[in-house]
Amino acid sequence: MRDDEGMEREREDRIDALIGVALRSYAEPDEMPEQRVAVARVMDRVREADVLRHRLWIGGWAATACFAVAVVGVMWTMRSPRTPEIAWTPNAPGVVSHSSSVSGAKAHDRSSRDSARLKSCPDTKACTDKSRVQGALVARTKEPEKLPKLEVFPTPRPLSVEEQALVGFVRHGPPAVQRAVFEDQQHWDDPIIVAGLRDQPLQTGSQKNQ
Amino acid sequence: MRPEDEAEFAGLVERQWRFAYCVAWAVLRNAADAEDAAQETFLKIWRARAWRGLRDEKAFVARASWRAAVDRLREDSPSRRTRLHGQVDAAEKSGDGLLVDDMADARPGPEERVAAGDWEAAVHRLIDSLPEELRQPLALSVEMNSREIAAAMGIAEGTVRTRLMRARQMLREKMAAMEVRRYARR
Repeated sequence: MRDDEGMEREREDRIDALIGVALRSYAEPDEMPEQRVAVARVMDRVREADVLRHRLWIGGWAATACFAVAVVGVMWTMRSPRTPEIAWTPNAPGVVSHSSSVSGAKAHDRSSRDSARLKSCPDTKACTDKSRVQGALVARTKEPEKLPKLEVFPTPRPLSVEEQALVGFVRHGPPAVQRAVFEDQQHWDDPIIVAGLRDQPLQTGSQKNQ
Repeated sequence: MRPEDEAEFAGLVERQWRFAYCVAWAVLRNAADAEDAAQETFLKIWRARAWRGLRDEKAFVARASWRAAVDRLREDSPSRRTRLHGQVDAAEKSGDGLLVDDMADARPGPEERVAAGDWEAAVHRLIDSLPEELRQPLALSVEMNSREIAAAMGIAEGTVRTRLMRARQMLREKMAAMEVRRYARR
């Protein structure tokens, strides 16, 4: 009995010893790179990773800067005014739109709706001229082609035949006429009042005889 | 990279390279994979700038190396994992726990090794057939104690001891059974 137990224990010890020896050889790598070479490889990879990291860092900042510039550009573009401007032009009859995409009437409506800015007329005399300023609104937008810059504004033009006749009449007429015309010039935008007409009723034949 | 940093880090790599490689080898059992895992370990340590003022340098490297090796094992080709798990399944299915169905591996099985008198190689094959949760602590136990293994694998020290005991017990049983068969054949 004791011999059996002893043999069993001896067998277990032998197996444990085998396991121990085999385990040590199991954990020992078959082949292992030389330490100096391995360390050099690791340091090379570390340097490469460092360079790559540096490049990524710079690239990231560059991309961020580009994105910021693009955002600022978009915001600036969206904030710039696009409403048409309306200016007094003494020699343009009616409303003229230079926009290629919008018709003149639409542009005028839009300009009035959007409460566009009105530019003051630089020439007071021209502005007061009834014949030249009638309905001289021009809706202009930013986009259309540039018009040639004029040296004299507003553009001078010769008087019409009617205007010349009026000037001659006033110049050679009596002072009362000159005064009347002058006052009329002062109130050129007043409504024209036509005196009421008085007409006698028609008379029948018997009434005529009486 | 500053020269003093590089020199300091190179010192750490020189001190711990062999240990990191052995830890990775215990998990991966392949020289090329183990070297890659060891390099990855030191790269991670460098990137994390965690290599200065370490309290327990060895434990830190062990943890990082084991992590890198396990990650590589997961990325490894499915065939290797299938073979490993297939061996384990076959060992568990056979009545006496022996590796009977070992068709996927062309190497001689443990019984052939024993018959040829190559006990060491037979034990290696038996260790390979253990489940990973038992095999890894057993392989690491040559380089580290239970506390260090527990820190590296992120489990309790008691769990490590239990697994080591179970692994050894399984090996003993399998070897005893092989020995009995060997004598029975005579």
